[in-house]
Amino acid sequence: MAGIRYNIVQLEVEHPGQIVRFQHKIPAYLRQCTGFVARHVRGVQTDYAIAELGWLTTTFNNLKEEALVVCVGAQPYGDPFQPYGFQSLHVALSPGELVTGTYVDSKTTTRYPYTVALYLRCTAAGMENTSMPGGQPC
Amino acid sequence: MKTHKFQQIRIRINTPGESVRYSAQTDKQYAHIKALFVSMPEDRLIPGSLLGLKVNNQDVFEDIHEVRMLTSGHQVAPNAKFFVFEERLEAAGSTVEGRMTDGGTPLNADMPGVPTLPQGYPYEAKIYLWLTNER
Repeated sequence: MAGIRYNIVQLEVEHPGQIVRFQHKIPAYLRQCTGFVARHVRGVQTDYAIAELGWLTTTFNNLKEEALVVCVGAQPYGDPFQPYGFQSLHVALSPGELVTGTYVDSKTTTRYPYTVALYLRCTAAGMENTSMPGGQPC
Repeated sequence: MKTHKFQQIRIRINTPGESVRYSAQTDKQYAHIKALFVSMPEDRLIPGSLLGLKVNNQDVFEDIHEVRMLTSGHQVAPNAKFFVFEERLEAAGSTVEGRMTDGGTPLNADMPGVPTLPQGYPYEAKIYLWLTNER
């Protein structure tokens, strides 16, 4: 088994102001979440950056630990593509418990549907101290 | 002997939204995979495109991992473009396989007449594996 897994939660937003809820199960051998990225995947084609498409909140360990409240924006096409880095996160995972969350659309775009994704970088037992995230820093 | 090699895997995408399985073997002379970079012929093909990766049947990226997370633009120096793996991934003849999904909207088969391919199709996506013998 891989020591580092990137768990991905993809959410489809279909209309303005929509609230999308999700539940995600992280494999039990993963013991810690050490990084995250929340980003727009596709759907909103824009010539300028949109700082706020919506807000994503995420709770770990069956609602016991609210660790993320993050604004999701959209980058314009043709934006200089820098390598992506993961923002650091320190959440100890209880085996088999759920990651749950909510995305709230901020009605800042007219393009629907669109997709956003949350990437959680999680490590197995024995790799908890790995500090350098994959890729380059943001 | 050289200690680094950049091995290329080419994947041909024929139509928008197409999903293609790929499989390859790493060069036996290099011990592990240090990093990976995905190159697309045009930047506009990157949004929504997905790449899954397994090395020796071990999941590294799920099939819904975005190409955007594994690539960067022309203004980034070649050595800095790569997504560096923190854990040791064995090379030395390992099987590398996965699925690439194009980010375009699939052609509508219900439309009358011969469907016209949008500009840019077909194309070849390239995966560069940075192989090394360094520890």
